[in-house]
Amino acid sequence: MNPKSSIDEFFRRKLSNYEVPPSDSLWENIQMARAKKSKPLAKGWTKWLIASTILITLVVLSNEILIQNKKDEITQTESVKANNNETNEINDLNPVLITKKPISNQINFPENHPPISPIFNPDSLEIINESSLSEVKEKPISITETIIEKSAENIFPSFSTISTLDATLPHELSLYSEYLPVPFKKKLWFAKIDFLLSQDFIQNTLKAKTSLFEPYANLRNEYEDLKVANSLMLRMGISTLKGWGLRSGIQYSRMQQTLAFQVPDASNKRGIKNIFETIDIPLILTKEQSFGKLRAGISLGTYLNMAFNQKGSFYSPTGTLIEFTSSKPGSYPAFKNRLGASVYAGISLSLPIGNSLEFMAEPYFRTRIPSISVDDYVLDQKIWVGGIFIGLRKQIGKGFYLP
Amino acid sequence: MRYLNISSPVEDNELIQGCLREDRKYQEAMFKRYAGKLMTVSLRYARHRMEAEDILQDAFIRIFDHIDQFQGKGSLEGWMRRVVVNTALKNVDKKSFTNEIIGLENTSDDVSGSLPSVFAQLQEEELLQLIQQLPDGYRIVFNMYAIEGYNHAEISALLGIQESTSRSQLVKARKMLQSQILEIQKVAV
Repeated sequence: MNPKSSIDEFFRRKLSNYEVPPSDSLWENIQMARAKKSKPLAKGWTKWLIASTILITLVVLSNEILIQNKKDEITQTESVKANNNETNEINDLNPVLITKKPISNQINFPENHPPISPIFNPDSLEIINESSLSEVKEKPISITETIIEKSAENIFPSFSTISTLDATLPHELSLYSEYLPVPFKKKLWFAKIDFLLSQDFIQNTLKAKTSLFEPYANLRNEYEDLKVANSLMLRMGISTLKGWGLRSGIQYSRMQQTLAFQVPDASNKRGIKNIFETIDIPLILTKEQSFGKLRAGISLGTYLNMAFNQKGSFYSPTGTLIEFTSSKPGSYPAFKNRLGASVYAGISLSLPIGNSLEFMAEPYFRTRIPSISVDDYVLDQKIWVGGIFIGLRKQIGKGFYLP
Repeated sequence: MRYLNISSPVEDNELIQGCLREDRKYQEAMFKRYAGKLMTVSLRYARHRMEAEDILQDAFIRIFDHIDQFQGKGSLEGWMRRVVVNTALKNVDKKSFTNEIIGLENTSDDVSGSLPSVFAQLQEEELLQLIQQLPDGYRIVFNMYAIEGYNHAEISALLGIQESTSRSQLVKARKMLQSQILEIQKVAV
């Protein structure tokens, strides 16, 4: 029996049955914390192996299937041609290799239309003869690319002289910010880092700035398709136990497009790859909620886009191929190596695979606000992107309070 | 606070069975029944309310995770109180028991006699504040000995300190509490 002082007895008597209600949020916090602590699906190194395998398999398979489908379509016509004609590829490359598309005949320039830039001048077209293809014969795999490069060099000696068309263009929109209803009061916050890979699907919208070029927009829509991309993102974020969070980081994206073009035999199409690379900086507000082990949330925000490299070709209004490779002198600088902004919306889903590690997937939609093409180009080219991020989320340390 | 309702009052045993099944309705009912009392326990060991809520949150997580370890030998409330106390002691720094507070030398060692009349006027909330203002070592030992009922040997074992340290911390805690209450009395007069 412990000898008790009167002070001891006094405090014990007064406080033993005294009740202080905890804050309203405590029960929700307990539920969320328990959901996070739920038993891992795998232990040790196996969880990393499982997560990595799923991640890589999904990205590689989806990409391969999509690209292979298009390759099959393109090579099928070439195989038929090869079976019927033993001279096959080289004989395909007779003069008039790259046809002027009928589109050029559909563009009826008004008589008093001001002179337009050299890229639209049919006189600048040069037919490629066989002698210029000697290198090609030694490297049959790159025939198509060689042809395009040669035609681009010959047709477009200097793009710096391109004049500005009579069109009123939308310009880059500045980044906007909006009020974020984040409860920045003294709450327990958690820092998390996301490592994500994505398979993206790109949709172009090509809109002629004047009705004169509507057939041209249709031409490009017809011959450019199957745009896919892969992205790699490293994202940091802080979030409360209630699920409010802010995330930002850096994302690298590489978009791949297949451009089909016509050779004299109308049944024969060939394809080349166009590449577009961008670095993006996301700023995303999230609200997440636990449903048992599953944690789901909504992500909304903006992307700061920095397009920095493009490689490839597209059709000009006259039906010839133009190379727009940004790193190549003399190419037509069709796309903007500068800042842009996108709006982002996604749904995040995550499952714990360790005490502080989650496997996550985030289907998303993103649309770039301004046109990606230069202002003096005759079409407005805008893109939206849909896809799914797959990756891992790691909580860093324990919770903390903001100062 | 928003809770799911259990239609009729349930016994602790039924709550325990529900929690063993991970039934959220019963977990909420258990939280609703005991959160207030356990928050008082947590507040006595914490320096402020925010820390107390963190302790209580961790304690409830442990309670729900380890409800199967409750063997029914004592009351459910007593077991839950011990979980809260153990959670609060988890991060106690031993250095807390070496700090000395000067200025208590003139206070009488005998605090076992009748209490001054001001004591009767003190509300529970003020008592909690007085305890929270104690230095960490004083506060923990006073709580464990005076209110939880541990003896010095148990406190020594639980905290990893000498029994003599526990005794001296308790005496100093009492003196400091008495001194603070007398100060309140002076202000009141």
